[in-house]
Amino acid sequence: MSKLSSKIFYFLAFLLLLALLFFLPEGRQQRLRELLALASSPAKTLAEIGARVSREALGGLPENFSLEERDALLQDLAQTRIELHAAQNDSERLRQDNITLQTLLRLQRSPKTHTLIVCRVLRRYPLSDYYGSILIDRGHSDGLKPGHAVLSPEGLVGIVAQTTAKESQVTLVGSPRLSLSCKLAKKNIAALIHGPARAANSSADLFLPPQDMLLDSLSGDDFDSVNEGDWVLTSSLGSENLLDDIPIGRVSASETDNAGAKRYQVHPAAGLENLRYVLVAIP
Amino acid sequence: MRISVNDKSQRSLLEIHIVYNSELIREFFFSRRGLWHYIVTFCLVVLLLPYTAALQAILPRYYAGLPLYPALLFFSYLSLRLSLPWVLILALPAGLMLDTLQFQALGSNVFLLGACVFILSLAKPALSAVKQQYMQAIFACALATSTLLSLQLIFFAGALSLIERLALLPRYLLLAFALNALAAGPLLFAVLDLLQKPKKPRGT
Repeated sequence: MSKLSSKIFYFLAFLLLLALLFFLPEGRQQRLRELLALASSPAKTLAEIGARVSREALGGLPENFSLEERDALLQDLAQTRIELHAAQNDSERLRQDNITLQTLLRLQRSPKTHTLIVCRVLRRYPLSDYYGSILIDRGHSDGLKPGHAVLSPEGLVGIVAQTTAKESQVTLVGSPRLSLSCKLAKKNIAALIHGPARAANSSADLFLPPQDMLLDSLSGDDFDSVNEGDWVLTSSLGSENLLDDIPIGRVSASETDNAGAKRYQVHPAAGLENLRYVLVAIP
Repeated sequence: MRISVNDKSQRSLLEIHIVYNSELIREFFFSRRGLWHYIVTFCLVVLLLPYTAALQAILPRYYAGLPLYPALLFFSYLSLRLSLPWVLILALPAGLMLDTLQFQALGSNVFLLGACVFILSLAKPALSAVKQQYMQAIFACALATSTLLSLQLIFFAGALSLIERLALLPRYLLLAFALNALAAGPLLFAVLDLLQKPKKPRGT
């Protein structure tokens, strides 16, 4: 075998081995990541020390500030932090006063508040689970819990499935693992919505976007008055974790199952193609 | 040394002669051209491979926008000194570490490193013909850097259009060339050659 052909042979064998990495199941990939993170932690610590020392030697901040500018910035930051803390205390005191007054007036309905946290998408699996799950950079130390809604400006993107201290796994609306309670806008109908029916570990998800979601188990007085184009919204059913009234999608088609019950296809409102930042709604 | 096995009548059934060259043995164990060469190479690879991968992953947090690629430069050096199969095998753990530290899909940086190593191996005969060591380093690092940047813009540029990708190319290429090919690369090559390459015996 000539030298060139042997080099091409070795490179093709390398590419074949690489292809196996792309098609590894999610659990195996996660274990491999954990092992690699453990193996690279000493080198990472050493590299961070070296980079930090060199950064300090060059003036401190990535934007090449001088020391005086850095001190002024730190002072402004401290001042802003104090003001923010005072504003938060005032806000909390006003909220408590509001609740006390509502209780005194025996108001039945208290306004629901929620917090939106901006999260960055850290990872998506390009082939094995592209429309099924994502990893975001916030965890339970930031207040996230399993069951919190993850949304984009267009609507619901998924539900927080698992959390660690600094990261969370989100099940997207394109995953067959997703099921949650919902309701139809302006109609007295409650239902369940499920992710598209597809094998959980099917590969090449990148090339075949998921089908529409399925809406079934309808209940309520108007359960048979669902029309195409009706908006489907989230419904917490009293749960403390899921926020109400987040748009999930629109009813696109209807069908009848073997038992004669109606079920509907729901086209998701939020696109799943280019997710770089998402919002998590914490009630 | 002679070892022989004789029968009862003292006829030699088996004879073993062991001849050793003390000069060569001493040179193998105690000179830089012998065993130490392999030990130093092994230690360099074991220590520098994770360090350069970690450095390449964390540098953007401290020097935002600086296109410096320590792992790529290290693998450029290895491509010129070791054979292709060994360097491809080493590219696997280095690329996987980079993917883990940068939260990317497993295999992306493995592919980038492997492709750069392959291109360098194809250009190795031409690079070896360059007599000056520093010019060899500059050409090797320039080739590796341009390959890496081209592959990043083709495969890992997200939703950018073709015109946007082409618009990024000159700025990144110029700065990356200046840093990697003209500054960091030759320096790394010189340091590693000083540590790894054995001195030529006097008189040759």
